[in-house]
Amino acid sequence: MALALGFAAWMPARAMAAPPAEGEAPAEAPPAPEDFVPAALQNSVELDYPAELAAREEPPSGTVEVTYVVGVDGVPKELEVSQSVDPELDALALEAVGKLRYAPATYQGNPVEVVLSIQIPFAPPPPPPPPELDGGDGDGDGDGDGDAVGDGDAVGDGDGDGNGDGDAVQDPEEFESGDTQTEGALRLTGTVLTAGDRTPVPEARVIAIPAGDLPAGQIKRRIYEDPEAPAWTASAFTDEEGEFELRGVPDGKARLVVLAPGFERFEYVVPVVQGQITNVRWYLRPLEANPFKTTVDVEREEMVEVTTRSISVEELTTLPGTQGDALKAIANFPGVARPPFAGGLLVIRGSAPGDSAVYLGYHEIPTLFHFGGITSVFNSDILAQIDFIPGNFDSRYGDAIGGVVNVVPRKGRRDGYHGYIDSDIFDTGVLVEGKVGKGSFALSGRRSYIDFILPLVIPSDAGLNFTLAPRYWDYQGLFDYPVGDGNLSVRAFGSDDRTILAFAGPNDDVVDDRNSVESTQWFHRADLVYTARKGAWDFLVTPSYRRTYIGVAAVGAFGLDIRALDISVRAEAAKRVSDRLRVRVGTEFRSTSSEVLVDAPQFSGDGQAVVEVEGTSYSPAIYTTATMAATDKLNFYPGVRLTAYAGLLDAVTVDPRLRFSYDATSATRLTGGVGMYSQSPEPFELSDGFGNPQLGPERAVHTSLGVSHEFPYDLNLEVTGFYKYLWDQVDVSQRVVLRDGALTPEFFSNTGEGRIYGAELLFRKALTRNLFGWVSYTLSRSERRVTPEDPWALFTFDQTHILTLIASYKLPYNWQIGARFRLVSGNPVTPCTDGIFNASTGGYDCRLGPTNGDRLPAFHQLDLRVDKTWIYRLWQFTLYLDVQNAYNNTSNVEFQNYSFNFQEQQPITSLPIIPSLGLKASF
Amino acid sequence: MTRFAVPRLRRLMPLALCAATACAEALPQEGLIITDRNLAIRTEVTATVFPGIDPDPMAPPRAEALPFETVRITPYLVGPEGPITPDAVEPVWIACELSPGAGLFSCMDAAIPLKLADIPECEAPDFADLMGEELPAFVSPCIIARETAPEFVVPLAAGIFLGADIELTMISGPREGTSTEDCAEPLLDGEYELPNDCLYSVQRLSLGPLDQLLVQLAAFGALPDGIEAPDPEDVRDGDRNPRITGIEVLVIHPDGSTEDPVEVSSGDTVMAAWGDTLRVTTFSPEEDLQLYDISVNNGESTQEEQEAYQGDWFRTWGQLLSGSSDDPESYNEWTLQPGSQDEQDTPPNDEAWLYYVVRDGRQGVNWWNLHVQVDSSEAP
Repeated sequence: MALALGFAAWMPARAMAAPPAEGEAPAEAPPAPEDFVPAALQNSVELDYPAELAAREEPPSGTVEVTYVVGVDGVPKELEVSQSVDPELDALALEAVGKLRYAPATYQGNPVEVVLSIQIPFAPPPPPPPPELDGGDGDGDGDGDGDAVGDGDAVGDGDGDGNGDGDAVQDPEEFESGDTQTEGALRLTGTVLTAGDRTPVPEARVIAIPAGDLPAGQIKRRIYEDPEAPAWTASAFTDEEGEFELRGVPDGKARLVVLAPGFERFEYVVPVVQGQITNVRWYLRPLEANPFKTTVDVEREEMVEVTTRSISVEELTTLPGTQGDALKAIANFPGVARPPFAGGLLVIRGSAPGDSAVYLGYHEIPTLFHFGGITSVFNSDILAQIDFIPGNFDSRYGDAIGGVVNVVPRKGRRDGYHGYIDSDIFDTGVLVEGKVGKGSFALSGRRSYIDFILPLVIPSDAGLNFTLAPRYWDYQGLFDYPVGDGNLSVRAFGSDDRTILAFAGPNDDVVDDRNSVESTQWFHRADLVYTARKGAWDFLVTPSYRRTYIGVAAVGAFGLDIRALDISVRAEAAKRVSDRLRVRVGTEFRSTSSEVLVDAPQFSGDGQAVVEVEGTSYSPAIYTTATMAATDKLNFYPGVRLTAYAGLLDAVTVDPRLRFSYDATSATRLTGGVGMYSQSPEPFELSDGFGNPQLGPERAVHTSLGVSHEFPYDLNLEVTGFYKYLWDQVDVSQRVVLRDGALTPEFFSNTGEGRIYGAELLFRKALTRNLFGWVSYTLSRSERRVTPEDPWALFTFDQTHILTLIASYKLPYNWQIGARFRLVSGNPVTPCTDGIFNASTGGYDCRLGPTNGDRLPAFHQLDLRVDKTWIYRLWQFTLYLDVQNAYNNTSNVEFQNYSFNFQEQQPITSLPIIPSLGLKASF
Repeated sequence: MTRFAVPRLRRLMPLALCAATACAEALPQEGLIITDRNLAIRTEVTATVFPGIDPDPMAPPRAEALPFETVRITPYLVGPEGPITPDAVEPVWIACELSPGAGLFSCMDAAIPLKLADIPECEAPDFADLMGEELPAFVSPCIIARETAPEFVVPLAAGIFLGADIELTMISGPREGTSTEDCAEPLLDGEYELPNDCLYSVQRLSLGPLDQLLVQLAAFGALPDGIEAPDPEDVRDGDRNPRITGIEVLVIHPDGSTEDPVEVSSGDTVMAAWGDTLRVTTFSPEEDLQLYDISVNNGESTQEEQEAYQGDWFRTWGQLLSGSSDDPESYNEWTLQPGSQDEQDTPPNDEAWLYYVVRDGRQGVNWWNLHVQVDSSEAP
C-alpha cells in the first residue's frame, strides 16, 4: 500500500501557539491574523505498508498523528508522535513527515515558524487473489542437468502413520471458492532457502490449494488445465528467516506454490495428515547466480571527492584479464597507466608508482602485490568496495602526491555459514564466514603453487635451480560485533613471498652466494576499528599494528635486511553542525621503528657501501574537512592537513585543499578542486651512506574540474580535466657537498620538477541485472625535469592515449561472458645509442640517448572471460576461463633488450595468449 | 662482496625474460670475438718514489697508485685473428679527475662538449708542490698519450684526500676502419650516434690507499697541516693485480680418449682436431685475494671484505661450456665445433683463439690467450 502525504493532510496552522496545559482540553485554534500566510506544502511522500507487518497474524492498523514545527527554511523539525499505533508504523510516519518540504509561513512578509500536526492512516494491504491454475511459467529446471533443487523434505511424524496431535481440522466444505484462509489450525510449517548458498528467502509468497489427483512430490512440468477457482486457499509470507506457517489446510494433499521475486516458481504436492503438522524445507533456484545478492551495507562516507570511481566486488571478480584482482581492476579506469607485463605498478595520472597510496581499512598497506604483480596481497572477496580517487583527495589522506586507492573490507555474512574453495592458474584460496552472536566473522587464505609447477617446466640444462621456488601465501581475518552505540571490527592481514634461485654454471666447482638470488618479504598486520554514531556525532577510532620484513641477497653483491614495526592510529570525529554544515576533524599518527642493513653498490659511482641503522621515525598529522552547503545545489569542502615528520625527515607540511560540487540539474553535477599535497622521500634517499639526510618533502598542487551526467538505464558519463604541478622532487645529484664538516657526494637533491595535464572520459553502465561495462579514455602528458634549468622531458610512465572498452553480460542458465579491449600508447624510453666498455666491471655501459626520446609501439590487446555456474541445493560450482591476449598479438613491445655492447637491440614482447582456468565451489 | 653484480645480473636478466616470453636468440654473443675489441685495461705501478712501499719484490704489481708514482696503462686488445699488437692501433688516452662516489665516464661527460685538439697534455707533478700553501688543482681532462700502452705519472691534487680517483678514457679506431680522430670527434661533441667499429673504453685508476699516502708524506715531512698520519702497521696494502700461475690444457677427443695434459703459457699454440674438446684449467693464487675495507654508515666505521675472482672467457670460433668462472682454479671446455653464431663450419684459416680475463673484484686484472691450430680434415 502506498500512502501519499499531500496537501490533504494539511491542518489549520497554529502559529506560535503553545500546547494546552495538562488536564486542560485543547482549545480551538484561533483564526489566523490577516497578515499571516500559512506554510504551503511543496512535495508529497509515498509510504509503503511494511511487508513484514503485513505478514503478521494481526497486522497493526490505525492512524498515527505527528505534531511538528515547520521552520523558517520550510523543513519540519521537532517531530513528535502524538498518537501512536505501532512502533514501526510510528517510525515510518516520522520519517515520512521529515521528508516533507514547505514554503515557510510568513507574517507581515517575514518567515515564521508554525506548529502543524498530521494524521496518517495505516491499514494492511488485502491479500492478493489466488493464482490462476494455467500450469505456471516454468518447471523449476534450468538446464536439464538433473540437479537436485527442490527435493522437499516433507517431514511429518517420522513413521508416516498419519497420527499426530494437531488441532481439529476445519471441514474443507466450509471453504468457498476464492476464499483465502489465514485462520485455523496450524497444518504446515516450512523454510524456504536459496539453492546454492542456503540463505533464507524472505517475503516469498506461499499459497496452498487443493492438489487434486496430482501425486506427492515436486511438480516440475507445466500444468495445462482449465482455470477454475480452487475449493479453498491458504497463504502466507516467509519471514526474515525464510520460515512460514500455513493454517486451515484440510487433510489430504495440498499443492503448494512458492513465488518470490528473482526466483523460479516452485510447486510441490504435500500430504497433509490429520492431527499432524507437516514441516518442509525447500530450496528455490535463483533466476541468476549472484553470490553477492546479500547486500552488506557499508557506511558511506559523506565527504565528496572531486572524482571517485568505485567498483563493486561483483564487477571486479568477473572483469576479463584481471583474474578477479581488485588492484588490477583499477587499471581499467581512466587516469591509470597500463603497467608493463600486467605487473603491479600503480601509475595514476602520470605520477610515479611510489607517489600513490593504497589504503586497506583506513591504513596504508606496505606491499600491493605478490612478487611485484602476480596478484594482490589480499583476497578481493573480503572487500565491500574499492574507491579509486585519482587526485584532489580529501585531507584524510596524506604522504602522497599521486592518487589514492581506498579498499574497504566488508563484514562477514550473517545469513548463515558460507564459504568457498577457489583455484586458478596461480593459487588456491579458501574462505569461510558466518555469524557470531550479533556479529560476524570472515576468514580467508590463499597459497600459490608456482613452486610445484615451475621446476617441472624449466629445462634441466637452463642452469637455473630453484632451491626455493617462488611461492606466496596470504590470509585475512575479519570479525565484527556491535558494541555500545557502534560497531567494533577486529581485522588481521598477512602476506609472505619467498624464493631462492641458484644459477650455478656448468663449470662452477664451488657454489656460494655469488650464484644465487634470494628474496623474502612478509608482513602481518592487526587492526581494531570502532565506529559509532551518537546523535549528530560520528566517531572513528582505529589503531593498527604491523610487522614487516624484507630480505634480499643477490649474487653476493647486494644485501638488504629490513625489519620494521609500524604503529598507526587514526581517530576522527564528525558532526552535523547544521543542515548546511558538517565538520570532520581527525588525527593520524604513524611511527615506524626499523632495523636496516644494506650492503650494496652506491646509486651513483662505483663504490660499495654498507648502511646499518636503527631508528624510529614519526609522522603525526591533524586534518579537518568541512562540508558547507552554500545553496541547495552548491557545496564546498574546504580542508587542511598538517603533517609533522620526525626521525628520518625533519619537516612540517601544511596542505590546504578545497573542493566543490554543484548540482546543475538533478542528473548533472560539476565537481572541482585545488589542493596541495606533500610526500616524504623514500628512506633510502634519506639514508646517510646511500642518500642525502638533508632532503626535504616533495610537494605538489592538484587542480581538476569535472562534470558528470546520469542518463536513463543506469548510464553515466563523466568528463574530467586535470593539471598537476610537482616541485622539490627528489632526483639524482652528482654534486659533492659539505656535510657535517666533510665533503661528501650529495647523491640526491630536491631539484626535480614535474607537470602533468590531461583529460579523462568515463562512460559507464552500472551493474544492474545483466549488463555492465564502460568506455574509458585518457589523454594526458606527464613531464619531468631534473632541475629548473633543464628542459622538460617526457616522464618514464607517460602514456598519451589510454583507451579501455569493457563489457560483461549475464546470459541465461548462469552463463556470463565478458571482454576487455585496450589500446594504449607505448611508454617513452631512453635509448642506448652505443656502449662504452667499462674495464672495471668487464661489461659495457649504455650511452644514453635523449631522455625518453623514443617511444615504444602502441599496445593493443583483447581479453575474454567466460563464467558458468551450476547451482545445487546446498552449494554451487563455477567454472571460468580467462583468456589474456585472445588474438595472440605478438607485436606488443614491453621494452628493448640490448646486445652486450648496446649496438643491437631486440624487442621483448608482452605475454602471448594465456588461457587461465579457474574453479570455485561455494556454499 | 664484489662488484660483479652488474655483469652477473645483466647476463641473468635476458635469460629470465626469454624464459618468460620465449624470445629467440638473436643478439650477438658476448663471448664470441668477431671484431676488434678491448677486453680489459690494466694499471700497474712501474716506478715509485716511496722507498719501502713494496717490500716484497715477488708481489704482483699494484693496480692502485699514489701521487708521483708511474703507472703503465695496458689495454687487452683482441681480434678474430688473435691479440692486437700495440702498433696496430693508435689510441688516445685521456685522464680526468673523478669525484668521490662518481661513476666512470661521469668526468668526461661533464666536460663534453669539447675538442680533442683543445685538451691539454697532462703534466707530471712536482715535489715542490708539496711545499706550497695550497695543493695544485689537477688540470682535467688532459691527454696522457697517443700510444697503445702509455705511462702516466699520477698527479698530486687536493681531491685525492677526499677520495678522488682518475678516470682513464681510451678512444681508438680499429685496425681497419674509422680513424681515432673520427672516433673521438662525435664522442667529445656529445653526439648520440657513434661509429660502431670504434673502441671506447674507460677504467678507474684508484688512488691510494689514502692512509698509505699519509704515512709516506709523513716520512717525507710533507704532511699537510691539520692531517695526521696513521700507524704504518694499520695501513693496508694497495690493490694489486692478481697473478696467473698456470694454464693447463687437456685435449679430449670425440671418442672420449684424451691426450696428456700439458702446461702452456699465454700465447702458446696447441694442436687439435676438429671436434676435439680442450679442457683448459687456469690457476690464480688464492693468497692474491686481498682483504680491504668498505665504509659503514658513511665512514662511521669500516667493514672488511675479501676480493673474489671473476673470470671471463672468449673465443673466436667454437663452443664454450660457460662464459665465466669464479674460482681460483677455474676450468672451461672449448669444443672445436661450430657454435650457433659461427659463420663457418671450420675455423677461418684453421686456427682459433681463446681469451681469458680474470678480475679480483676491485681494479686488479690479468689475462692470457691461447692459440689453437685446428686440423679440419675430418670436419663434415
